[in-house]
Amino acid sequence: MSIASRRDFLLKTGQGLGGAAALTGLIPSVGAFGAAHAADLVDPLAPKQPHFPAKVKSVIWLHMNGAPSTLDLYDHKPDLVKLAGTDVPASFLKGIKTSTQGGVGKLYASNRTWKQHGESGAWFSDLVPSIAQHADKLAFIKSSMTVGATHDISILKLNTGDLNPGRPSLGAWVTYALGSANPDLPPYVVLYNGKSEPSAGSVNWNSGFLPAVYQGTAFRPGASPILYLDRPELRAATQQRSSLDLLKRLNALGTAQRPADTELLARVRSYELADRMQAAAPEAVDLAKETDATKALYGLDDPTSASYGTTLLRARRLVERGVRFIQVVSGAPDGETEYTSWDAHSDLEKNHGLMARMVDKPIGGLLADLKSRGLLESTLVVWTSEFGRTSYGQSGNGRDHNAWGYTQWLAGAGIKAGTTYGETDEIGLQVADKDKAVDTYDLHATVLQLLGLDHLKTTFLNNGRSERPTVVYGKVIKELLA
Amino acid sequence: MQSFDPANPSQPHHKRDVTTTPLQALTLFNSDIVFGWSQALAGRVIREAGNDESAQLTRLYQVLFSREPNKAEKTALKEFLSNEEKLIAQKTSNGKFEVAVPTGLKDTQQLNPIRAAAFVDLVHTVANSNDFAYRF
Repeated sequence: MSIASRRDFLLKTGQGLGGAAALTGLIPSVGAFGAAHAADLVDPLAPKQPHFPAKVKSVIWLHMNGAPSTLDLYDHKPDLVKLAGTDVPASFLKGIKTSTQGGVGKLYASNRTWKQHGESGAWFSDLVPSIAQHADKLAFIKSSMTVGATHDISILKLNTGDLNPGRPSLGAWVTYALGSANPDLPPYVVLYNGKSEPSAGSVNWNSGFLPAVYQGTAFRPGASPILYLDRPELRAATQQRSSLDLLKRLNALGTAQRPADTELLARVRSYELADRMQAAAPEAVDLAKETDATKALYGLDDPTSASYGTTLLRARRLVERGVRFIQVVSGAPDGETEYTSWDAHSDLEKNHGLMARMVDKPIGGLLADLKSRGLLESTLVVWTSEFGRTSYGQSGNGRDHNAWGYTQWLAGAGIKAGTTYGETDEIGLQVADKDKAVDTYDLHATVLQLLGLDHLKTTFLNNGRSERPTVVYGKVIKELLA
Repeated sequence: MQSFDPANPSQPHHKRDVTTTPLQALTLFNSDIVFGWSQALAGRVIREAGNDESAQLTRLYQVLFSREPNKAEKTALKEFLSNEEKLIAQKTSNGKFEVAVPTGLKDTQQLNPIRAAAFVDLVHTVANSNDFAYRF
């Protein structure tokens, strides 16, 4: 008796797998979701309403990887220049544990010239002349602080709110809470500048305990941004089409018998989506239709800023196509091997000269372009990093990591533009007024608020505990909101 | 393989989350590895079932699903083979002969390479179908 006819026998006697299959069809196994949410599985990315009306439709999360010295970009400290070359006064070191490896060097001032810009009179150094043109579009957080002294764990905290891997990233929470606004593209895209993925890796755009459908999709540089977007070499488009048609026909034979199985329907749907994505994704990142003027605006005509400018121009195209959350990792200029991030423990002058030149024009261009296309009305741009850099020097001409006081900024929809929240002490080492300290949780709560989401009500039941994006912390910084 | 949502080793689990995403579909449908497996499976089926096409379809379903294809399925598969053969013939008529044929066959087994390439596409599609890649 063959296997097939044995099954046949069991089916005919009514005791077999047919009965079991029908049963699982009615009660889909849906993991932590619980059966009540089975409908979500039909389309877990269906658009959902925010908690309250919001202007922001998309977020561009500009992660300055390696931690720039905001003391040399935005946080102008005349006293630091005056005291340069002397020891850090003990009073400024109170309450912080400084790095043991590099030690605490003499106070260090880099070779900067500073100017106030716009009606807001915000200070900018000569390293960021293009961003300075948009002074009145920005809301500075000059009292940023975080936990940790090494990149990977602080980057993780910046993106997920935890020092250990496992929690969902902010983008994943946003996607979970709001769904997708474009069924042909992933709602949460990661762009990185450089040939390989950022070293800290995919834990920074992971969905953690949320379903994997909410994880970020890293778009690779080049014409084919998603893995397996292209069919195998030996298969023609016509073969692909007819195979998909057969797949549909075979699947229809199965689904017809199990109309109640939502997960099965989701799988059928995922192939249809994949089919559409094969066309939509390459189009979304193709810059062929962009004018030379636009390309120049993003610094594509300068080899130092060309690759980063390309990622930001792609980011704008993704915003236009309804992508909710675009996480951009700053990386390094194409072909650059000596400086691969903002991490200037030495040679700050050279490092930041290069890095600032890489990002300044593209970011200025992005803000100008979003504005002129009316997209700044519905887009939030976040300039962020895992921490800042110390007022005291390291290796003579660099700066160490500083988690106690640094600058980040927001621009775009819902933001009180042209303002500054908080400040650091006179030498720019620590947040001056600890009540005004803005931790990563507060930044997350504020970004969620701008998207129409109450961070306390954005929850997911994991292992019996109701989890939220801000763990057990977080406050919305109302002073930053328009 | 991250797109298939493996259990996170740093988290406690009583059950793996089930997810269904277009990226998974793209991987299964377009990956050269999966396509290579399809070529190998096509080879095995022909090796075991011989040159009779109806027997090949039956063997494929036995290998993948431990059952025989029903009438509707057999009709769909046979129509697909004829149609696919025409499509591949069109593709190769421009003089460039490049098709993906079954692998792992003995040299003695004579095959029409175009029909065989169509059979590879068939195996690849059936292996992508819900009956195979789903938890019935």
